[in-house]
Amino acid sequence: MTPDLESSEYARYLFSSSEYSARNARVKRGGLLPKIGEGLSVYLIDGCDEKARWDLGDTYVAPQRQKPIRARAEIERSVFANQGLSITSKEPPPRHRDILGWPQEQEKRLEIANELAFNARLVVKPH
Amino acid sequence: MTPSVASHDAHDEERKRVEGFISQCFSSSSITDDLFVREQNYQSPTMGFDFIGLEIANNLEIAFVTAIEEQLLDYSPQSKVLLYSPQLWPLPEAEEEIITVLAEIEAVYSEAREPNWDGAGASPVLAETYHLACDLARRLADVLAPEISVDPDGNVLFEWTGDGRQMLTVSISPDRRLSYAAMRGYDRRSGTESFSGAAIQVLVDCLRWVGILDDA
Repeated sequence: MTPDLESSEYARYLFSSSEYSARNARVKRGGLLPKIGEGLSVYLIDGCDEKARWDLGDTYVAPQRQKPIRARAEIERSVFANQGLSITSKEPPPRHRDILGWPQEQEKRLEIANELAFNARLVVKPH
Repeated sequence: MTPSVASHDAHDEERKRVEGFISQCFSSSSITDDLFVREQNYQSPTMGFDFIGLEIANNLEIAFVTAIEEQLLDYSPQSKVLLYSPQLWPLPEAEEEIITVLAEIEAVYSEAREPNWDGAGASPVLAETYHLACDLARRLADVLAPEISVDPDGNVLFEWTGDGRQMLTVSISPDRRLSYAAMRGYDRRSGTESFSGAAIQVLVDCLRWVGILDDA
């Protein structure tokens, strides 16, 4: 299993324009929120080149969503940690992680989503 | 809660204008009180307009679509419809913004109206949520247009983003709760209100506090 480091980076795969804005080059908050009581599903991308980053999503996430991946959000570990969230391995699939520790109150969840979106880097998948 | 609307007379007058337009554009379509302008020979690309907005006038819901051929099937046959062509009747800038926002709401509703729309157990966006989101968009039509998204609990989100750390996110739930979180630098402001005029004023105040909306 690939170990998580303090400097690790994670990818959240995005499937539609309701989750990101290519025009404004940003990730939407809705694409970074888990369902209440659940974790946010992400993938550890340390050591992965560009192709491998897309391959992770294409192989393990797109079949579940039954849609092609259109973009990904990349977020550093410290961004989650600064919001009081924890990262837990949830393999298989390989490199899969859950971001846990979300509050129940919707306004608090939105506060975290604001921070994650502000610090996320959007990468749009080339055609 | 009732959105402001043009009078029925105005709607009727507009419909008459549109009927003339439609008769030119469609080889066999008509607008009636039980409008269901749905003919297989519709050919929007050749008509030269970018989009058509549909206003369902019977209950004042607004739905704007980019793919009329698909979307018309979703609406009640009892609906009266107005069609706007940006070519024939250019809209004021504010109207164009609200059209864009409503189109985004429509898009997320179409995408997320079924359970498990994300393949991971997401809750659907309910019709109540969709209607509230459209209502909120209309009430905020005078402020900068938000981006629209949806969360896995079926809430519709309105998202404003300014320069730097300036953000306001509002979620609309089917039980009429408006939850919001504003970020200005490293300061935060958040809360939950019941959908009302007072709640909308709170959101406008937040937009000003964040710095996205200028002080009046």
